[in-house]
Amino acid sequence: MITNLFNIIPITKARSKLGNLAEKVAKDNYIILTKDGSPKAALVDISYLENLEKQVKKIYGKTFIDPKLIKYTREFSDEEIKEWEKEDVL
Amino acid sequence: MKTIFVDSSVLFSAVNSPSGGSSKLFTLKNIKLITSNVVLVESERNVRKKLHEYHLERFFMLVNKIKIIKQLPDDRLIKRAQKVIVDKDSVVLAESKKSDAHFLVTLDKKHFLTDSVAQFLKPQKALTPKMLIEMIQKIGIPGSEDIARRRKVSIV
Repeated sequence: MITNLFNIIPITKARSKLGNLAEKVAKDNYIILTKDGSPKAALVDISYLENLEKQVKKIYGKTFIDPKLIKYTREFSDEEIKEWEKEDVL
Repeated sequence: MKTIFVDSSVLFSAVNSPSGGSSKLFTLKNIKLITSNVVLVESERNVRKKLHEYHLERFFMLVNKIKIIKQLPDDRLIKRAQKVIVDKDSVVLAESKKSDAHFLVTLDKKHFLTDSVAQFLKPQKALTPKMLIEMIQKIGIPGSEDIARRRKVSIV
């Protein structure tokens, strides 16, 4: 969903119509609640949130990183990554 | 079937670019790609640090195509490797040597494709993905004759 003026509401205004706003959020339609003009929270469809959490878990829950092996590894430099890109061209 | 030890420069580059030689390796049949846990840790660590979130998904997809060998880093072998290669590459070199693969594929020509490393790895040979692909296309490797004939390989 694209954020626009219609789905950004100050928390002070949202308080009185929370029930209506909860009805409006569905699928990827969400409402951003602001405080002093800055985004503070969001009202989202619970199934949308659950789906997001699943996706994040799927990507970040899986890892081969083993703390015992970290000492044997190193961080690549940007220069060597560029060299590899050149070398990898067919 | 020949076994190819994939180093972290190749795995990282295959994740980074779907059109390079490293990615192409993952489409070849009749070769067996292997790697060790240390290489996986190093590659994943750098994918997370240097690339975008969507690359992580590609990393796991490519790892599914590799056999992960169960071996722990051998400190004595790493010390021996340090005599023929710069310290930063000694762990991967030792891991490849220990794996008993037929080939080590790497993109670091400067440090891995030297006479001293060749002696250390014997009978294993270090190659770049491009060199390996060209070799398969020209002369094939035992058990991979069909690849040599086909010449064109699809991209992951």
